[in-house]
Amino acid sequence: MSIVRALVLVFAAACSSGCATALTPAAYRTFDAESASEGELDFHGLPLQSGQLVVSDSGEADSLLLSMLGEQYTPYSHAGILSIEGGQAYVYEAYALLWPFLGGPPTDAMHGHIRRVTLEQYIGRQRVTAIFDPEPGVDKAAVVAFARARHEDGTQFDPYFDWRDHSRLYCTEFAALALHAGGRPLPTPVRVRDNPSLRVALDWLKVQAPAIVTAGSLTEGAERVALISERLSAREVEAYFAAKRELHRRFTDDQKLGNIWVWSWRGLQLRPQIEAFLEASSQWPHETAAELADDWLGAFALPVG
Amino acid sequence: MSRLLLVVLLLVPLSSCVSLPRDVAGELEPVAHHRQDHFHKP
Repeated sequence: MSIVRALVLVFAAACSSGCATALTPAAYRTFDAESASEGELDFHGLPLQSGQLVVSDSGEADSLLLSMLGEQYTPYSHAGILSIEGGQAYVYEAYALLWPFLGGPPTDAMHGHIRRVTLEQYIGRQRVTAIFDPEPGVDKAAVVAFARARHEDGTQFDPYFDWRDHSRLYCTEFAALALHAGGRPLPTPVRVRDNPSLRVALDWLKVQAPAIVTAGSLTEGAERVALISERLSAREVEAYFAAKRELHRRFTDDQKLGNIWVWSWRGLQLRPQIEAFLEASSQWPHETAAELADDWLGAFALPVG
Repeated sequence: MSRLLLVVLLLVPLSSCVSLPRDVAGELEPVAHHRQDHFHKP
């Protein structure tokens, strides 16, 4: 998260605390229920239940970085747990804001905890949001009970993404432990890529964990029940995720962070050609992502051996 | 809340001036040669 964006969020949070937002499904390109099963709450036509998994991609530069971090690609970079309370849909999530700082890595200045936001507020921050029903056998009441308990005890956000220490939690770690409380086996963390350029940045950020829990590992075996995007149609979401997968494939160990991202006064940003490629990708079928990348970013074949 | 807003507004310019360590900034520069850059068409 860029410094300026974080400050804007601090400002917005201070101004809007307690305010409700009005969601209008007709304003969304995608607001699709993908399950015939009935939910505990009919949320503008979406069948929702407490204990469901919410995953998302904000479309920002830092979201792409999180998608690229692990050896296995994950389309989503953030996760939370859905809870129906008093006829309202809420999401519990591990979330932090970057507070003003003058030195040291930004991770030292990130402070947050397990918080509860309305589903409307959550969706409003994301480019793509998906809701998944955990695999059969998972006790969703236990899942949401874990989430509420971590909110009530004020569990802190873990800016260093350390899965080995559960005293502080990052977003997907929190969701993984909540699902585990409902009986889902813990996911196998995905190894952080062995990319020297990435390692320089992670060392600065004090992220030393050898592996991370990805949102993708939480959706394995789960059934997607809803897909939501204000800007993209369902087909475009698929094409956008395929384009991100292609970027992940191209980010081999010899690549520098600077081939994809740039640092400016606004914080971490995508390079213009990457932004243009992602923008254009949604206009093409997802099967053509590699060919489209050859056209936009240059021919590429994985080295043999 | 007004005090919070004041603190935030005063610190925005300071935070925007934070620069990266030289090694990290170096990694955020693209490579000089297109053949080593999988994200830039020659």
